Order: sequence, then structure tokens, then C-alpha cells
Amino acid sequence: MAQLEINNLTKVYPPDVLALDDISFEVEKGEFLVIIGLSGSGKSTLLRCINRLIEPTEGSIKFEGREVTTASSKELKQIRKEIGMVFQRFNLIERSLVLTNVLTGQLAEVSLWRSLLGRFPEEMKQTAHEKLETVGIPEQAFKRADELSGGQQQRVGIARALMQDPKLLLADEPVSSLDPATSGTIMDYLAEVNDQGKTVITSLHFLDLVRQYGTRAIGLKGGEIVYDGHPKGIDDEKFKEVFGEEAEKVHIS
Amino acid sequence: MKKPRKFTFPDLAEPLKPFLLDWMIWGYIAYTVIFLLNSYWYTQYVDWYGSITLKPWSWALTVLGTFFCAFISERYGISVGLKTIKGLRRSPQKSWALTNWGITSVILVAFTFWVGWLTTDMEIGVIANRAPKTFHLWHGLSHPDFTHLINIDPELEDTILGSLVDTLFMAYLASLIGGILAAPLGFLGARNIMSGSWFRKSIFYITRAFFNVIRSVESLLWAIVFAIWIGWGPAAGTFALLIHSMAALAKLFSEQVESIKKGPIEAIQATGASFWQIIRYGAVPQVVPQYTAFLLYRLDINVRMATVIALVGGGGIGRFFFYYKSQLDWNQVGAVTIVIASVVWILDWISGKAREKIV
Repeated sequence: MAQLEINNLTKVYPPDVLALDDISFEVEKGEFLVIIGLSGSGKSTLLRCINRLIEPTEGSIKFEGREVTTASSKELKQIRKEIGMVFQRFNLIERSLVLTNVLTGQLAEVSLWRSLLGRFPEEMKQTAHEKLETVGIPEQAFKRADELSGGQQQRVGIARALMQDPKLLLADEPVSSLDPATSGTIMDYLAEVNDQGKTVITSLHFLDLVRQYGTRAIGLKGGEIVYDGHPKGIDDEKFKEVFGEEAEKVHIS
Repeated sequence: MKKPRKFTFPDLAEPLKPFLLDWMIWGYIAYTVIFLLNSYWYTQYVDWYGSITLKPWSWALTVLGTFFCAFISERYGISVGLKTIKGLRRSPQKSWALTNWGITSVILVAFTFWVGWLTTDMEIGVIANRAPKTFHLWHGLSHPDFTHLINIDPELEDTILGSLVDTLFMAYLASLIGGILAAPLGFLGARNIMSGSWFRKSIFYITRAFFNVIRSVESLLWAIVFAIWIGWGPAAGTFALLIHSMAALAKLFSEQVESIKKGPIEAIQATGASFWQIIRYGAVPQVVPQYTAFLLYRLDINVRMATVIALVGGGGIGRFFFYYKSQLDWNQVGAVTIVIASVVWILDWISGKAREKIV
């Protein structure tokens, strides 16, 4: 049984924008799956359907045997806890401390009253410091999140996701807001997470990153899968099919 | 490929809206024309406070006439209603003032100005003519009598400074309690948070209606209500300021909550957090600075309002102002005015500085 099974997934934004059109694929544990495609091809929608930040219209998503699309609110929280997520715009609580941001990854483990008062258990704080060390910014723990650079903020984002100790990590264009050098560092961290046996599904724009990090690539175009295979298999022709005729200008590889 | 089909009823309201708007505009023009005609040539159709008393049949005529005008203007494509409802696109070469919409708005503004000038008895001359009458007022202000600043006025059984302290505490309590009550209301009245289920939506509409109704009644009127309810004095004034502050702040807060960024909410949601945790970590940190700024601003407003509220029995320093004014003791009025003005000015300055730091 694959870790993630997606069958006939369809998403329609009212009134009639078809973002995902009958998509099916499986993801094995430990894969580094990269989703490529132009803006508006449905990458973000696909990722957000997996943890139901966006409600799918039709189809089924099975995560480790559990159906996500029909999960009750309680089951959904449990599933979300096991799926970490990293965002293009980092989505940190900007005015809060870096440490608090990392700790929010464990909210599902903290009782309501403790979390409302902001009193996280001591050992949880310890873990948060360790996660910050993992992403190389242990000294930033007591700074406000918006004082950090973009690259550092994304590392906090990764630390927050790692705090959940996820079985699957979703990364929605994690490097699109960063410069090329910083992008490399962030991708290295994702690769490191992947080396520890965690599945990573990420959407990316640049083909060289896809080839360097991905173990498998899925190309999306107009909400449909146009490529599914090894990243090395994307030749110029396939590339044009995924990114369109104009794409040669953005081809950085 | 499956495409969702949804049947929608043909919306009858859509074509009616521009027509109704046109009709209303023509009706308004007719009304103002009749008003102006009456005030310049006849007076038998306008009663003393300026409302028009036409014969019944002429009302019917006006209604029919404006209906006809609206119909004609839609028929010949000079409809303002169509333009307004369907959007105000125009060719970039043409100046806005030359479009039907532009011409009509200019006419409407001018008409309204004219009618307003007549109804409010505005006169420029009188400002100059009667200027000497205010002499004793300016004289009082420039020769303030501070006798009762720290000496008890036997009539009011208090000192000016003492009642100033009352006023400040009234404003402080009203802002603080109002602000605390407004915070949850702000969330309940925010469209983005209270969407989804019909249950949340109905809470949203009830909350909105609740604070919109309270807000539309000025604190001065609330003071009258509470003065009757619990008797004259600072407590009535505090309640009046409190309830109005609560509603006004709730309105501002809810708008703030509606403008929060979706990203952090999504991120917290993705960790498997519960609804209240999402509110606490995703939404609250985004609104706290603005909340505080609004609260400080409200404190500022409340100090100013608290001085006026004495007029209807709200207590505080305003009592001195209205009492001395009724005694025509302009020198003491001057003293009270100076005290109020300086406190308001100082507070305005402090809260301004503080808000700069927060936001």
C-alpha cells in the first residue's frame, strides 16, 4: 500500500473554474516528489487538497490508509498533525518570537488552555530549540519572526513543520520568494528531511532544482497530469509540453 | 471531463435596480425643483420648516412624471442608473465631467447645496454683523477665573480639578471595559471568520446588527437613557460612553479582523490545531497592535465626549462648563474651557505618540 493514494481528484472553484481535473497518482514512502507546472496549473490546489486546506470537489485521497476527504474534524486534525507544510510566503506569525512560531507546530499536542495562555511544556521548548539547530539558526530563537531575512524565515517555516515530526512534508513553492543561493540551502534542508525517511512533496519552478533533488516529477498543465516519471526524463520536448512554447526563456538549467 | 452545472433563476432584480435608481434620482430632482420654485415664487406649498405640502393629485403627477423621465432616460441611453449599477467605465478621451454620469452628479451636488443653504438659513452677513455680541465670551476666555480650580464651588460641591479627575476615570473605565467587550464581538462580527456554516453566519449577522444599532445612537443619547435608568452622575456617563465605545470599537475591530492575512491562518490550520488555537495563533497576533491603537484613540475620544456628556446628566467637568455658562459667568467658563482644552490636547499628543510606536 502506498503512503498516499490520490484517485480521481477534481477541484472546481465556483462557479466553474476547473483547477484539478480527475487526477490520480500514488506516492510511496520516502519519495521526493516534485510537482512542476506554470502558475495556475493547479500545483498549489493539489498540495492544499492533500491536507484539506482546500476542500476537494470530487475524488478520494488516502493517507496511510485513512480517507482524508471524508475525515471528521477530529480525524482531520490527526491527519494534519502527521503532514507538515511549508509555504511560499513562509506564513509565519510575524510579530511573535521565532521560538513561538516553531512551537505552533506542536499545537495539536498541547491542551487548549495551555495553548491559549501560550504556556508550552518545557521539553517542547527544548525540542523547538533543537529543530532550530537542525535548520542552522539556533541563535535567532528569541527574535521576532519579521526581523529575519527571507531565507531565515523559510528555515523557521521548516522548523515549524519538523516540530510536528511529520510523515509527509508538503512544500508549496518553498523557494519561489528566495534568491538562488538561499534556494539551494532551503532545498538542502528538504533533502535532509527526505534522507531521514520522510516523504516530501514539493512544487517547484526551476527545472535544475527538480533534476537535482527530485526522485520523481509530476507535470501539471491545466489541472491535468502531463508527465509522471523520473525528473531526468523531462527532455526539451516534454518541458515545452509542461511549460508551453514560451517557456524556453525561463529555462534555467 | 465533468463540468458542474447549476441552475440559476433569471435575476429579476438586476434590470430593475438601474431603473429604480434612475427613478429615485429623477424624483429627487423633481422634489428639489418644486422646493426651489416654492421658496422663490410662492410659499403656499412649503410650510414653515421647509417640507413640501403638495395636493394629492400633484404627488401622483410627480411620481408618474419621474417614472416617465426614468423610462425615457433608460430608453435613450442617458441613464445614470445603468452606468452606476453596471460600473463606471468610460472612454479615456472623454472628460468625466462631460459624461451623463458626471453632468448629473454635478447637477445633483449643486441642487443639494442650494436647497441645503436655504433650509439651514445660512447667511454670510450675519457672521460679520453680530461679531461684537461675542465680545464677553472672548473677554472671559482671555481673563479666566481660576477660583474654583482647587477651591470647592459650593453650588456644585466640587472643584474643577476634582471633576476633571472624575471625567478622566469615566473615559478610562469606558474605554477599557468597552474595549474588552468589543474584542470578542470583533471576531464574531468578522465575515471571514464567521463564514462556512449557517450557524456561524447567523451569529455574524446578529452581532453586526447588534453593534450597528448601538453605534448609530450617539453617546449623548445613551447618556440620557442611563441618566433616567440609574440616575444623574458619573456612573450614567460612564455607562453611556462604555456602550457606545464597545459598539464603535467592535465595528473597527471586526474590519481589522476581516483584513488579516490568510497565510498564517493556513499555516496554523495545517499543523492540526483546533479552531480556538487557530484564532489564538493565526488571527490574534495580527490584530493586537491595531486593537491597542484603536483603544488609545477611543480613550482620546471618550475624554472629549465625557466633557460634553454632563449636559444631559453624565457628571464630570462638563457640569462646571454648563453651570457657569447658564450663570453667564464667562470668566469661569473661560477657566473650564482652558482646562478641558489643555487636557484634551495633552492626551491627544500622548495617544498619538503611543499609536505611532505601536503600529
